[in-house]
Amino acid sequence: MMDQLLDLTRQLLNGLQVGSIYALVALGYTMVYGIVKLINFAHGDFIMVGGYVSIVAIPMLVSNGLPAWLCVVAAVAVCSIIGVVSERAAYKPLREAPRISALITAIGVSLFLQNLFMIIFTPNGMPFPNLFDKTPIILGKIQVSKVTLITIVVSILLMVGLNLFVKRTRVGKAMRAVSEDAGAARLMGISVNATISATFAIGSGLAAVASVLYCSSYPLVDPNIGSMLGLKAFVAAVLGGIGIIPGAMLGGLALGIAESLTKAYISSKVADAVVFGILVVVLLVKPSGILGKNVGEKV
Amino acid sequence: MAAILKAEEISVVFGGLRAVDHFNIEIGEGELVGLIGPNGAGKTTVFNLLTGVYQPTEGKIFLADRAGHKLQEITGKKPHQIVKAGAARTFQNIRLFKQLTVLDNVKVAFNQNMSYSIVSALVRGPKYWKEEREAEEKAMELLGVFGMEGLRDHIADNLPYGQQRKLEIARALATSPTLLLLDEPAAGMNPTETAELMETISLIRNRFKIAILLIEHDMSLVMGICERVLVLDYGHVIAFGTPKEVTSDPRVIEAYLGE
Amino acid sequence: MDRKQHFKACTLNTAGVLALFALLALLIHFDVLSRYHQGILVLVGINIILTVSLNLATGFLGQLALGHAGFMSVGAYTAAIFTKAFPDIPELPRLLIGLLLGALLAGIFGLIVGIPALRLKGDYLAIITLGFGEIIRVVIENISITGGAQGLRGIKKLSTPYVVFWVTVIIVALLYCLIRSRHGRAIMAIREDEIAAESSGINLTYYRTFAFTISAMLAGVAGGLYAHHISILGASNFGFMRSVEIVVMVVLGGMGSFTGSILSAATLTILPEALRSFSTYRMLIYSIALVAMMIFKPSGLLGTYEFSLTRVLQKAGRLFSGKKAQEAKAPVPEAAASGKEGKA
Repeated sequence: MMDQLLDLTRQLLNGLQVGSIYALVALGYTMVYGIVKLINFAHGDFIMVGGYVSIVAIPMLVSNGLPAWLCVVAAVAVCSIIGVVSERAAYKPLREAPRISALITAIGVSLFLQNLFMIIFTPNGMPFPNLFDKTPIILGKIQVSKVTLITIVVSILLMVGLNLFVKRTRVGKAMRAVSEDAGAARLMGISVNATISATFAIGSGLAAVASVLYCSSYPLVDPNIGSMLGLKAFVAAVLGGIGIIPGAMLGGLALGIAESLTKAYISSKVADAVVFGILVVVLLVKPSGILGKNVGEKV
Repeated sequence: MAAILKAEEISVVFGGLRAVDHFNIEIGEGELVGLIGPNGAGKTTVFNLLTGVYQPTEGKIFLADRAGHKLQEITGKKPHQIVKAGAARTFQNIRLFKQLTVLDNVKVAFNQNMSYSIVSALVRGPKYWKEEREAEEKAMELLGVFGMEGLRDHIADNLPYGQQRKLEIARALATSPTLLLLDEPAAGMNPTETAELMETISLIRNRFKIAILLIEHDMSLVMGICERVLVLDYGHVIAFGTPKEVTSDPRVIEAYLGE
Repeated sequence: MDRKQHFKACTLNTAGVLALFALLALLIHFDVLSRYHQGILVLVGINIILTVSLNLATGFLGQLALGHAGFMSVGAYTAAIFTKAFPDIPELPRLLIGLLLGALLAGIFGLIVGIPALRLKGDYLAIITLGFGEIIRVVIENISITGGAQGLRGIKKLSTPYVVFWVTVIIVALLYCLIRSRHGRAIMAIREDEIAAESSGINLTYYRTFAFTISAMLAGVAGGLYAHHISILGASNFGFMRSVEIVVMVVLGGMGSFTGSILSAATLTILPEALRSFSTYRMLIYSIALVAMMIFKPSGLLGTYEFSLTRVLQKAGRLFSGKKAQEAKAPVPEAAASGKEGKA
């Protein structure tokens, strides 16, 4: 009995770890969707970009006597820049276009990033260096790896920070205003373009942090690692209610736990199928997600 | 005069707001009724309820069947089923099939009255040819009513605004309705065009022997052609009667002038 | 366009197709086309089927579907398992029955996916079809009848250039007839405006599901031909990238143009083979082309234009004889109309 309980706790911790990574990535999807109503297909690829940037940055940092985990700064910087540039170059011209055009463009950007990195770094995976020492931390009767704890703690801090940012700061308020009504926000003197750029920058930055955390536990980076993870994070965003920031966090954690429990108690092979199964069920039962409100089209 | 449409006590609530509150209406065969009211009174919402785009929170809607004029409940039916039952509509913000030709816009609306199967379409069987030819003839006839025969192969989106409105009415007529609901058909037209359109509307009514329910927020427009007028404000019917009765009603004057 | 004109156009197009077929047969007979070239032509045909079928769902119905490779795989495995199980049936009927079964099963999958998915709007449909595509792949990798992770081997190479040619021609012709009918109009009306379509008496659920299912079935046929061309099937042949490639072909050719689909499928199949150096950068170039196309010409290279042999001949006729041109002038608006109306 005790053993089973311990095992369950361990699985829940695993789920929280994966789930907080999903949540961080889902935040990017949800923020961008909230503000420009676009599913940014390329968002998942920032995980891949962050991974490669870190691999390049770590040796430089170490040779200069700096701690390796500072690679997260480089990853955040590069991903934010790419996020903003991709928005300006590809999405901005299509803001008024039909949704299907914007979606196809997003797929195009995703393909571009994957293939660009495939050409630069070859399609073969590259190992991700160790950032944290491997000695597990012992909490009562459970051994937890440092990465797990760090992932959970960092994610929670970032989510709390993001919430405060959106609620309290000028830029955060502008974001909420633009996502509510871009036209009215513009009339109130808010720079819509700058606000959208800020949203992309923050979303991509969060994905970069998620990337470093993810690669620390699954240390192999290849050009496609972002697509599946990104997709699952998107499912998390839909599950929580797309466009709603707390929804992304809730959805991410719920999805992570569901996946980890499936892997542990059913089969790791069907875990992906379960994730998409959850998506199907949510979309059929309550397409607006757990925290979402139903909005009909105006006729 | 037999009733063709009857709505009993329909209401709809959107997140706490009663957009339409215990609305009643009865329209007789071949009658032309105006639904007027200030902006935001709930006129279009009434249309959306009557045509199945929204479902009423409470109340019932009946429509006479095509043959016996016996009232049948249509509450809860889907828009395409209501069209089949005999109520067709236009939209306030024109909704055409923009990239299709004028002719195809009208032909789409014949779909429910055509019966050739998919197989017949694939092998181009005799039924395909017969029905397609009939549809085309009828569509051209309808376009003729609006003087638009010459525009048959134009892309709908390229038409001038006034023509687009007319095309939308032609499309609605193509479903061979017994009741036609027109949502601000004169919106965006100049006074001459409006007067012309109103004439066409009464002409349509007489020619196709259908009842018409017409939304307009400019009262003076409907006064000339409507037999009866219904005034809506904040989701309530505040007045009902002949145009003359309605215009002298103090509540209507208040709603419009806001005194 | 009336029946008589149609008959004329039909004869013309049949003649065109037969001429094309004769050319193909001659080129193969006199060894102008090597086995390698023939293989590329087979792939061209398969990709044309995939592209026109996805165009039905994406270009004509207006729903971006990202799981086309999933339906293709269902058709591929079904057809291959059938032809492997019944080696005694003569080759051609064996393949055709296999294709039919593949189409049927892919269609059933399309229906299962479509009924729930099509209740959702655009973006969600894209994601849910993507998800289903992945689920199908996971399932194929984990069951034994498909050969699991090892793949399905020893499939006979039954997809000859001739068979593929005729299957492609028939599918394109049928799709064309479908679109130029009341059913096709209903499908396009839904793309243009769902609410208006419903208010014109179109049953949205029926036509959406119908178009989506047909699209899946035809992907199944393409899959069946593909299986009998490459002879070894693995789930990795049908990943997300495959679906995206088909989307690229549809988008570049023009959403809502079969002519565009045919041209872009042919070009994008032959180009990487012709230019080896191109194939490294292929996906990179596709991605840039996708974005650029959406920004500068979202309707694709050909928009909704359709090629019409009748029209071309009319124009040529007018060029050759000045006098005839005068007579031909009278029905010009009609001709322009029938150009839109169709080549069929």
